[in-house]
Amino acid sequence: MNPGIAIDIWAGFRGQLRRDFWGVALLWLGLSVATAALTFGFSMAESSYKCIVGLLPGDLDRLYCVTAFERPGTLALEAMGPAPGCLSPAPGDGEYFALSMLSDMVDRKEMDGFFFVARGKTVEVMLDGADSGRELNAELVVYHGYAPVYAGDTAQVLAKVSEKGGVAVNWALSCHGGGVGTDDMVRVSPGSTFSIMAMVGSRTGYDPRPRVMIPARAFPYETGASEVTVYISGGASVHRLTASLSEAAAKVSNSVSVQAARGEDAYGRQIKQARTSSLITAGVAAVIAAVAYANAGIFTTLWVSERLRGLALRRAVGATPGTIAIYVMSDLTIIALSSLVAGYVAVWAIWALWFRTNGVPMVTWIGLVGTSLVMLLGTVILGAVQCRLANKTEPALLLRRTV
Amino acid sequence: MIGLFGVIRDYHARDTTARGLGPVSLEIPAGQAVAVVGASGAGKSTLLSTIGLLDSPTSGVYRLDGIDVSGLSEKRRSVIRRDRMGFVFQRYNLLDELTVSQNVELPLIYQGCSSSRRREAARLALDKVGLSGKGRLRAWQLSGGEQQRVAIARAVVGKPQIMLCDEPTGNLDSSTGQLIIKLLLDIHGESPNRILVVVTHNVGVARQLDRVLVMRDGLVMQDGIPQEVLAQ
Repeated sequence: MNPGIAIDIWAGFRGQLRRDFWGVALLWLGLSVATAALTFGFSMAESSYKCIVGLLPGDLDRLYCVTAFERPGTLALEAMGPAPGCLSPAPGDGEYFALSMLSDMVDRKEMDGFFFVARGKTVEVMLDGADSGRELNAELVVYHGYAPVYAGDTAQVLAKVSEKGGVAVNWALSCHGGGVGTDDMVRVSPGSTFSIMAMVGSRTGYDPRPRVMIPARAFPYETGASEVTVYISGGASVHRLTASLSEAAAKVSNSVSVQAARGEDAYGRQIKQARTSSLITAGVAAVIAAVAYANAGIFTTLWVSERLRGLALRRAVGATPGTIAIYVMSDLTIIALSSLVAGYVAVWAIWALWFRTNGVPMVTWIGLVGTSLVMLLGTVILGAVQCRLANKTEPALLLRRTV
Repeated sequence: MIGLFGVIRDYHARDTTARGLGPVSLEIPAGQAVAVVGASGAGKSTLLSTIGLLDSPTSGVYRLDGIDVSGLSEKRRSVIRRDRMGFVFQRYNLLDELTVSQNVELPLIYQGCSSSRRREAARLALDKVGLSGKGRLRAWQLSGGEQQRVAIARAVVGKPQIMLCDEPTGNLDSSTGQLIIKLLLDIHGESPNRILVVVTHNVGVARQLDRVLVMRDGLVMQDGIPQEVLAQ
């Protein structure tokens, strides 16, 4: 670009800014808010797809909780306690009965899998003692067998999962790789550890939804009875499952009783809510952005109209339509870029001051790049409209009208 | 040379059409100074805009140095305006966001001149119109007459072949207006081929030029030397 034109563009922008400072400020603020909203919205939408909290294989709309009791005096599994250290179930009749029974049911394809849930835990996952981990609010689910853990969530990693089986974890855990199997240790914050007592389920094959892992001993222990919370896919018959569990339990011990299953859709609801909330957030962000751009469209039309005199004069002394388009696009680009930067600064501040302490994952690259693309597209579309406005009328008419 | 042949300019609005000019046929040879007079709404400014390629004729032919420029694209018309024409408007049309010198440099920016050449040319143009040393001021800091002189400097900085002035003294008092006309005539006289066209209500201004066109209702009613036309 001719340096003289660049100087003239900046002088013209400053002049218009002086004439209509508050209008520009409001426009800039609106676009900055739209940037921040879009960034969070895209990031949360991506996180809902890849979020480590609550996203499980199968479309879990309704979950069933099956309670199985050991015969009195025998503990199938020790419950999680506050003291650090690894607790393993004591050998005894019925040990792992629930686990082995449930594993057998998975093997017989009577159910897809099951997992144990540690609700609301803040865990720091360290798979390699030399590296520092990352604290995040997570619920992890353990699956059957040895699950190599592949870091990242790219197509490459997922392809590896598809080829070799295993688990892909999202970026929050992606600083570590390796595999996690039964009896492996997963350190949890603030210093306690969980052993992975069992990994059950046998889902392999490519599924873009990441599996998650959970310390196996994360279930409540209250009255000496052991409870195994079994989550199965929606549509399965609770009564049929109860009957199967009773039959399997009877093979282990006559004293084992299996309580009637109860329906539990809270967890499934939580999952749906997490997904739905993120999608709603993304939707709200898109609406905010659309409103911001509609306002931007109105304002930039006024802006260009007010600049028509200056633009018409420039056309009169020799500026071509292309040069006028550069003027118009430059004005819009200055506003859009500064709004983008301000929006990203606001995103960082909000995340640093509030979201981080509440365990919300950081803004993602898709959030940042997606927002930039939306802002760029909006600027181009608005710019094309305003360029046409600036060039379509003969300079003589514009000069007469504005005079 | 400027040649208009059956040029018409109509303005369309919804279901109505208003004729702003024409049909007009005239030729202005190189070096001539022409006054265009007439009542308000006679079509004087429309004629000037058409000659200056600020407006496109609805029909007819406009030849500039023998080349038909009637149907050119806006881009090519901009280039001709940039390289061959200078405009002086009634209300100066200076840009407040630019300094006096930057206003004068504007046509040279679009000609692609370097910044040093632009600054030097603007300085010379401002010297010519008697505004030396005022290049750093803003337009609003000058009087009406000074602003019009800045507009003249901007019009001549690119050494145009055609100078088009639309009521250059319309907003000025008579003595300042006379100074402006003298300046325009001096600049016109510097180049033997330079054409000067001045739209004016002022008969006294018209008397000082080579030729007068009297317009009414978009048509040229009279065309001749001032002594004959204005006597009638």
